[in-house]
Amino acid sequence: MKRLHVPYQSLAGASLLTLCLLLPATTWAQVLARQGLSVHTDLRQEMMVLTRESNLQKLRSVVTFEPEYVFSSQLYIQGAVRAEYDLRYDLDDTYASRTDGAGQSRLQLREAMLVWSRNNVDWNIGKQLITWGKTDGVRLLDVINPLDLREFILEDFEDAKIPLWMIDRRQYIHTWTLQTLAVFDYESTHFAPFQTDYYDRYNHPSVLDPYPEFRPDDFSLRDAEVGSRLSGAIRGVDVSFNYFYTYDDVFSVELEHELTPGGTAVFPSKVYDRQHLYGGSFSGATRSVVWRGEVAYVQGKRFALDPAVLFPTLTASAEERGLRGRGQSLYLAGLDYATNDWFLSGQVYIDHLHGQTDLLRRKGTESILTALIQREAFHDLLRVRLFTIYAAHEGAWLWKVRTRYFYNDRFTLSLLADLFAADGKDGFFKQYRGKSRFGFSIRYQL
Amino acid sequence: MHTPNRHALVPTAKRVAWYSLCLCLGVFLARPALAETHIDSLNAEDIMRRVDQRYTGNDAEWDMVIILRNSNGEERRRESKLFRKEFKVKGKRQTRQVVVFNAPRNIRNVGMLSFDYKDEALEDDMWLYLPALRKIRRIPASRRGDNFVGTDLTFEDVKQGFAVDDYRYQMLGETQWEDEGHRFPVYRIRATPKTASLKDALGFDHSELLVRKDIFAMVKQTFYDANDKVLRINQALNFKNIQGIWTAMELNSRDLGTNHFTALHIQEAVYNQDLQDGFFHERTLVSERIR
Repeated sequence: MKRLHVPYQSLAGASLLTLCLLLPATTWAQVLARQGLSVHTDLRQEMMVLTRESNLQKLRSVVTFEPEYVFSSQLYIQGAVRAEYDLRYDLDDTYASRTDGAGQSRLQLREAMLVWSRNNVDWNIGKQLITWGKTDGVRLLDVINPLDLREFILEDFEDAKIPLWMIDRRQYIHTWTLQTLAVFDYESTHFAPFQTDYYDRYNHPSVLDPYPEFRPDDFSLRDAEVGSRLSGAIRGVDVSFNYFYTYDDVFSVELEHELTPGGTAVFPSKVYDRQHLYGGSFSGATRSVVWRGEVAYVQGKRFALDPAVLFPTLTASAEERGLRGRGQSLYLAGLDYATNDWFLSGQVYIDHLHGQTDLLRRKGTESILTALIQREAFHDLLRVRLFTIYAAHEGAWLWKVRTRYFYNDRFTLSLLADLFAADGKDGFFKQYRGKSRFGFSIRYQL
Repeated sequence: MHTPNRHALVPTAKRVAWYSLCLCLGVFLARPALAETHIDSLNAEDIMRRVDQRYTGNDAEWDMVIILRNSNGEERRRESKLFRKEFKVKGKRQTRQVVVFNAPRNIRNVGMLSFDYKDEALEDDMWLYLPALRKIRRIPASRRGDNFVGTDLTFEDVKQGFAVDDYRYQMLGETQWEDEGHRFPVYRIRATPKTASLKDALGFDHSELLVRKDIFAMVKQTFYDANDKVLRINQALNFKNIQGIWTAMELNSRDLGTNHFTALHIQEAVYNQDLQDGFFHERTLVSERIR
């Protein structure tokens, strides 16, 4: 068993870096505030250790600057820039070499948005995140923004969602809201780079290009995604009706073959398919219980073939192989219950693929159960949260434990644990069975 | 022939005027006594109805600072804005409220929208906006005795008005109440929730209220458990007359069990601005325009 390597020098270095960023941030933020510009700073230091290997999984520093300029209550600009650096790569030469440094650092524009309100219309123009739906931890309608899955689904959605350039228009008609979106941007899901801890071997066997691209080369305005949502209340029940014409966040691999003198040559090519998403959501409350649900139908999605049949069916068309021309129905029902300090929530999620699914990597019907237990104590100073995901179609469990202590108005200390359990390793969730981890996070907000 | 006594049967104009003058003088002199008699004849329930019906404006905007102090004397400070408006929908009264937090940073732009129905048969509706997730979430209508956003005040404490019909009352007498160096006569009233389930929902067995006689405002409420042990003490202090509406500029609550203290200071209050109905909508939460 490997000895746990505690990077004291790196911790000291990270702390010093944080302090250096903090002091000037306080000073120049005060100066800028006098000009009408406010800048909020968020500093986070995270350390996670893999339980099985007792090895450092990450030692990441994250700095986020959020400038905001308010012209008036109807017009303002807000932005967010985030920089990340993982010291693990500097401490673990083997890992750095194996991964070729992929995922060590990132500079990301998280938000650059103009917000303009006029009469009954709000415009949000720029790079931003949009949230649809009423779910926790799973996505049916909330697919406007792709996800960063470098750490599987272990990151909170607020950090994992990838912002896109778009125009969001909301018109308020009496008590109803009509939202229309035009997304002039595309990024695919950010999968974990090859050979990193949470690389998705189940869906992306190494025979394929290990470094998935994030943006198609030939993306143009014609590829813009458009969507609409009508939301309001009917007899006290919040409802929404959603439509989104979108590219899949995950590329599909189309194997093209060419007859050559030496035989058949196979060329994998990435394909981005357009889909229609139709759906809706509802939520209502009865006494101390909130009940909610979502329904979605996706048309035009492509699904990965089982590798065992990938080559034998090479000459068949995509439709014949069952890759396309099928619909996908998604359902979710959830219940939330709250008392003074407790919050309990449960969800059932069903993903059903229409038509024959024998050749596909996934099952025809997959279901996920989730449970959330949250307790707050000491007047909201301490929050303990356990989020459980059970992938019923695989028999795999994931527990996400978060304990947050609000030391004061600026410092938040968190203890985190992400625990996997399953029989076997062949499955989207199951493949991470040995990748449980625990650690802590310190957050400072200005 | 017998002639009737004209003086006995037919009052003269002079006599009528004299009687009228005496009557008016008597009424005038007796007026204070009549008034006092009217108020003194109010029972405890009448007084509480006047508390509930006290005019607090058609709409209100408060800038608030909430101080939370633990048993070690350590303080946390929250800044927020509250907007409230009275509605009448299909003949039924309801109060809609928006609360948005401006500070500290970790709860900045978190907002709450609530529809509080006067008809107790209807469940209140509440929504919470989480800016980090860009998401509005419907939340279960909190039990009335649940703590309001982590403070020692409960949702019942910060509600508009008083649920008069939920309690039985007993007049305990009168006393004096001191606030900002002034003394005010107050009624002492015992209020007991009518049912066991109400006691459970509210979190106490009975309470003692002090109500100012001059403005029918509750200034102190002491909450007891079934063993007469004091659980919590609420006070409303520093009343100011703002636009004709008596407003307590400080509401505080001390939990004697945890020795935790909350003070809600109203920095500024503005009433009857004719806030638009559409303001009390998710748009106000999502647009984060309130500063």
